Amino acid sequence: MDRRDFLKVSAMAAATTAATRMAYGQEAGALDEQVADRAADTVEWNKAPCRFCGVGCTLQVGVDNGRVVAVSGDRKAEVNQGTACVKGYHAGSILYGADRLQQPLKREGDDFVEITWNEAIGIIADRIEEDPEKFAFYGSGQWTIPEGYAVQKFMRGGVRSNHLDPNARLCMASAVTGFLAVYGVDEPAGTYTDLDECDVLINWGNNPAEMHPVLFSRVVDRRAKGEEVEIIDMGLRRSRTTDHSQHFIRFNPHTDIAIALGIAHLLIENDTYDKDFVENHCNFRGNTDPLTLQGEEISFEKFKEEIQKYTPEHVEELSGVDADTIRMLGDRFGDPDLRITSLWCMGMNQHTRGTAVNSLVHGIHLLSGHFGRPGDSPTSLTGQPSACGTVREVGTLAHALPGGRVIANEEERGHIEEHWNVPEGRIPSEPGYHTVKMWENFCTPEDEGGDVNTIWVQVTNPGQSMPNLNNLFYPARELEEKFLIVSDVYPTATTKYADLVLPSAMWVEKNGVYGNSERRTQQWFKMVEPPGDAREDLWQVLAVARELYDRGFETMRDADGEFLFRIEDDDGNEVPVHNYNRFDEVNVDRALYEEYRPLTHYKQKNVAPYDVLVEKRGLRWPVVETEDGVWEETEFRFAEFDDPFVDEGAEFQFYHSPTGDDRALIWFHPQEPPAEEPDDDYPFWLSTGRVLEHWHTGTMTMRIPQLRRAMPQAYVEVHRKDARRLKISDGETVKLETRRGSMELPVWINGRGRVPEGTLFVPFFDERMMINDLTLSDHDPHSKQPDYKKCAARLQKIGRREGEG
Amino acid sequence: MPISGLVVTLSDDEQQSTEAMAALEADDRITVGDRQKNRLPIVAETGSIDEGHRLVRDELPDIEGVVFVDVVTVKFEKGRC
Ligand code: SF4
Repeated sequence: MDRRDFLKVSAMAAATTAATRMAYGQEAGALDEQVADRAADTVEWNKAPCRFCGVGCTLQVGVDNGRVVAVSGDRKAEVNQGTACVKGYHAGSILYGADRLQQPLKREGDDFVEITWNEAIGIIADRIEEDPEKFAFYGSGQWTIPEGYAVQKFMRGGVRSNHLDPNARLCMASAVTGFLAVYGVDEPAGTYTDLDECDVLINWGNNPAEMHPVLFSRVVDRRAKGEEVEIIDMGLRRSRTTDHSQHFIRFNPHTDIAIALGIAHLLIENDTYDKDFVENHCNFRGNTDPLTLQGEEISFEKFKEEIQKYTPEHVEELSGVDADTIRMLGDRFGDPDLRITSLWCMGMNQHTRGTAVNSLVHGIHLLSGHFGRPGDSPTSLTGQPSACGTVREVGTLAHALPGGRVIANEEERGHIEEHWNVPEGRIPSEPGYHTVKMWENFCTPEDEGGDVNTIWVQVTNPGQSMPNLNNLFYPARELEEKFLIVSDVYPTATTKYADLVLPSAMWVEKNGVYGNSERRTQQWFKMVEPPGDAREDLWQVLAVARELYDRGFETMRDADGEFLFRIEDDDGNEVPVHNYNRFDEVNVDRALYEEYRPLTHYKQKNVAPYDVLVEKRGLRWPVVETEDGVWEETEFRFAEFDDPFVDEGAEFQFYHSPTGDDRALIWFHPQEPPAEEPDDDYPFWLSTGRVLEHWHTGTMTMRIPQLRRAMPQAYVEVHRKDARRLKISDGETVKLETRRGSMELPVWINGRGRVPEGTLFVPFFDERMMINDLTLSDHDPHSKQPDYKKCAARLQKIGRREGEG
Repeated sequence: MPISGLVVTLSDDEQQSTEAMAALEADDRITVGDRQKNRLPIVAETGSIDEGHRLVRDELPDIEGVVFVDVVTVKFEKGRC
């Protein structure tokens, strides 16, 4: 058998095993053909979570001769059950783009010059020493948990600056404030198991068929097994999710709030709300003036009164969705025999009223009692692989601390100070700047109050992903006193404007731990070496911390004068991991993760021990050890039948209730207009988002030739009638303009998303066509998350130019 | 020359799924495995990674009777990953 035949036989064995499992729900036999085949191959396989989205598929990564040569879905993974999506199975290629950054670079005029790591570390230490309180760190949910934890400690405990915020602010901050407002604690009660159990799946402005493909295929696969699942797709435009849905509900932008209010109205009007659940487990809440996340107590009667006017007919007027469809939704929620899961992501989060719509969707699940049984769940998804693990759990947000604590709470700051063995008062009591404010300050001259002078960016690309770049990113380039440090793996729209560029290791070039959208923590080991002189983001932070310590920067010491990041070997001897040639001597990830882990117990977010995760394809927290030493995960939080922290006999217990009485809150928020609407000058709605082939700003996926060729550039989706009216043809370059900027890009009539008349859609993956020059920075008052999904725009024909076909 | 192991989910409609099987068997690039209820394991061997990608993304889902295509494994040529 030649190598080619061998590969074919092995691929067929893997596919047959997967087909058998999908058809019969179990393994065909005891023999693991895939593993047996692998043993005969020279390729060494290991598990790692996918580098891309928040679904958190586990992949098997094949390494031969120091290079990733193959990727398979991991058959032992519950999340993806042996499969992967088009991005996942090309994940190996992201390591091998021709232009990987391999050497630290310093800006000199318009050029970059290569410098040593020692010089680079020294420059960062100089900037911090000079002005620690004007130093900010900007990261993302692409940080691993140990990386995020190290930056958290470095900033709050070492630099003493709370200006630490992530790209996740632009991605799921409204989901966080929604969970906090309703349950008093962040992150979903349910898990992906709800998708296997629900009768009805409602996508609220969400396109999982393209954005979370493996998860969506879990639902569609159920139909192929003969199960019935009704999929309702609500959105501003059709998508691939619509193709698999029984109902497509197109609503007017910003009126998802009205739809949720309409459903609540019908539950009360038809007397189909769950009286027992509401009476035993819920309180009602209304807004205060000024708005607060706590709101004020209102009675059920008051709630009824507020909801009264949102009749199906009134909601039809507001949303454009016909009254019968609103009634259909009301009937679904009013049917106690159905299991209903709501799923959402950017549509509800990137919203100037994101907290309100998040709270309302939780509210209709609570009001109808569609909560806490398998398949009955309001569930938000994340776009980044560790938005939950690193941002929400570790607390790398401007106002947060690890384990669900907040900076504003003195007692909670005290927990962390004690844990880090630093003096009381070490952590500044004022929350730092959220993303928009951080970059606004960076773009404002110091003498005009712009009090952020240095930003260190890791694992993200704000020069492309921030909204309204003309206000929030480019102005800093003109300001002498501002200094931008960027750690990344490839040149990006952000490195282009950096003063210092640090080459980073990525994915399986380093150890890591990620936390996905269903509270699942997953660990992996380094498999290949990073190229050239690229180094781990974690090492970069530890090296700067050590440089500051060596220079006598007082707050890089703990209360006993020891280095804040003292890493020890098994005998308790310090290992100087800040020397790069000693970094691999101990597992620094393990040390930091284990330091972080006890902090997760405070709000019952107990993550599993590192060594337990090594053996698993992730575990969903809270993870507790049983009497016989088994570490058990939790699928359904707050429900007695599964959550170990619910009291016996309580049935449901919202043990972090904002009202302190174990009850969740059902909020009333009125429908209100968006920040900007089409008018005579800017007559179109403009929405932005992603495509299947590319992930986030495309810095990785645009370097995978097959994905780049499949979707080579951005475009604007235009409805056929609008195109006809403007005399625009398919592929023609047009000018797209908003009040904040303009750009030229090709038209795709109807496009993949088939936008409705009067609406335009542009994906944001293409750095040559920066749609975020045009988007809004207006944001939700609580979450501070901007609205990328709707603003007013105009489209102009510019005609063909020379050279265009 | 990438080799991909795929699982094709066939329609519940017996006639459609039979026609889909016939279309897959007629395709030189595809080796069809043993059907497990409505799941069909196949191996696709394509001339280029682009072609493999098109096959999985567009061509297979476009066949009447094919409901879904899951990718189980993909083997790259050494040095092309
Ligand atoms: S669904 Fe997300 S996590 Fe899974 S393989 Fe695709 S990109 Fe990776």
